[in-house]
Amino acid sequence: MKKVMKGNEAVAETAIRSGLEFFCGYPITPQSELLEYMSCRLPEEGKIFIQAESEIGSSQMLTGASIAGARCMTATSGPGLSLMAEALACMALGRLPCVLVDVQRAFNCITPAQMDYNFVTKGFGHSGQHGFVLAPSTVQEAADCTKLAFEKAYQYNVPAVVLMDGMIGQMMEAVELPEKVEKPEAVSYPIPIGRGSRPDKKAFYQSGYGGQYKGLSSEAACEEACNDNAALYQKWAETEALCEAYWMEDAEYAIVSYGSSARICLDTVHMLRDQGIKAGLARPITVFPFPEKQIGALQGLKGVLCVEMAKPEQFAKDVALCLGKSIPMQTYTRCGGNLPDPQEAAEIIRKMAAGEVS
Amino acid sequence: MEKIYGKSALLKDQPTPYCEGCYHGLIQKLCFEVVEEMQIADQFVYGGAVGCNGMGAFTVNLDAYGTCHGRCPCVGTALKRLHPESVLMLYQGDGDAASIGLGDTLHAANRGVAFTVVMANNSLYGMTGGQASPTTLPGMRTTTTRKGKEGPPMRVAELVATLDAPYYVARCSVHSAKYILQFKKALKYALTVQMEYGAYSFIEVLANCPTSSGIKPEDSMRYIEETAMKYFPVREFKREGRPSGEVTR
Repeated sequence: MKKVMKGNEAVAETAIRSGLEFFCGYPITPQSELLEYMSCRLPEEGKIFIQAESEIGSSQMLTGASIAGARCMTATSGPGLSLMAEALACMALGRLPCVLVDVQRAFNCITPAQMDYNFVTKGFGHSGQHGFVLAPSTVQEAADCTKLAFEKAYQYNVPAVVLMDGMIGQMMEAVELPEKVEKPEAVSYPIPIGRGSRPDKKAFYQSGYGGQYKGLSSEAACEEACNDNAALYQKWAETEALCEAYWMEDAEYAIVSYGSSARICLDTVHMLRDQGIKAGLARPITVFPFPEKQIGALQGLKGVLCVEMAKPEQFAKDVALCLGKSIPMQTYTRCGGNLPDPQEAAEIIRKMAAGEVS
Repeated sequence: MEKIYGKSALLKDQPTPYCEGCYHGLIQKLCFEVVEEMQIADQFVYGGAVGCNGMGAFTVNLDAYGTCHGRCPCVGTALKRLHPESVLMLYQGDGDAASIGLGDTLHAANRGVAFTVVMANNSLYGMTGGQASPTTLPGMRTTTTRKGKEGPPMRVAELVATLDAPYYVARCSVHSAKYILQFKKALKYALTVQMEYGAYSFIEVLANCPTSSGIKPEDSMRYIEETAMKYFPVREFKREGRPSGEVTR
């Protein structure tokens, strides 16, 4: 049965239904409803909720929960994400699974933006290792991506990120939530368990900068961990990348966009089609791994417009890498908490079609 | 010949990673003796921090974890909530617990998380080569206070004792047999109340880093007795959750 829910609450409820055992967080707009929801719902389920003293604290508690073998999660927005850099760098290198929800905002403004893209896709903090990053564009998809994030985090033992923004977090929509997972599959760790005095014990281990398995102070182990991770990311690029194609069958022009921006650009596609311009939308759902093949396949088109809420462009640079220089590409960005205008986006493609810009 | 004293079986059969005369080796050895005497090795978890103190995690035949600098109490908070049956001891230095991690230290203390913090206070950053820390004594020369430290040192045990939640707060020393016995007693009490009442406890231990402080191993005892203890009184601050005026028992 569908329910009308705020994005933040839909994500929180989905996480609980996905077997969440431990949540820690710190208040920050536009994410706070998620924290509040967890504070009452998780104890009802007999699970653990901790309000941390800061995002440094919450990210480190997340590390502790992951070491202890719990299905764990935190949520934040850009400024908090910056404070979590150190813990995320260690978790990604040490292959400690968790789910992180980032409800992006425009720097100090609490309005929506997509300014955290580089942070979450280009390698965390001082380790440069990656998480699995999903970028939903509706409340329904935010719930679906949360469920998928748990699956991927615990399939690969990695941090998985749900990259939303204030628009999706704050708006209310009808959403069909997944069924509750009664007994989530036991977490299997790639990490040898210290001394093994207690066979029932899940995963206390010497973590340090990335774990005993993944390095600590040993140069050889650290290099081995980085090599293992790089091979994993390569595999993801081939098997795990997700991209939606909307009205692309006969398209001559493509808008490439993700998250809230992509949702806004659906209007642009319809406007252009009304004007007789064959436009479609290619929308990455995973932004790490980036859907290189799907975006690279747009090379035969007449032109591409990249739309995002960040300046200088972040997402558009990944798109440009996939497309090469053989195809005309324009970018349209808004930032500072301002939303893209579907008409302005349409105007750029109209000009491309008319040969006024290339 | 009968063997009457030896290294704790909880320590790996390898040389200590510490320099000659370092107090970490001594304090950690005493900690593991207490764990052995209490027969709690199976439940025991060693929470390691960053600094020379963190190398302890590699030397024990015990469950252990290492963390980012100063974040030992946050990781411990989650671990203890998820595994309340474990007996958790965090071993931190003054740079870790009193400087970069002071917020973490105080918030964990204020939450009253059921673990025991042992903070070795050698008044400087040993691993990075002897820079000043919040507990550096006035006038003390370090690599970042070459003309002598200005300003007072931070008294962390006293600070923790101002909070309501901590059950036991004390400052100990290990520079002579009398103080060693006091410390072992204090740690035993702290671990016992952790197990029995789910209580938070904090024990600061005075130390010296001969390599970085320039105070030779043979002078450490006199330094601690005559200088460090002037600024850092060795005593209990809280016992059974109440202020305590007692000298460490």
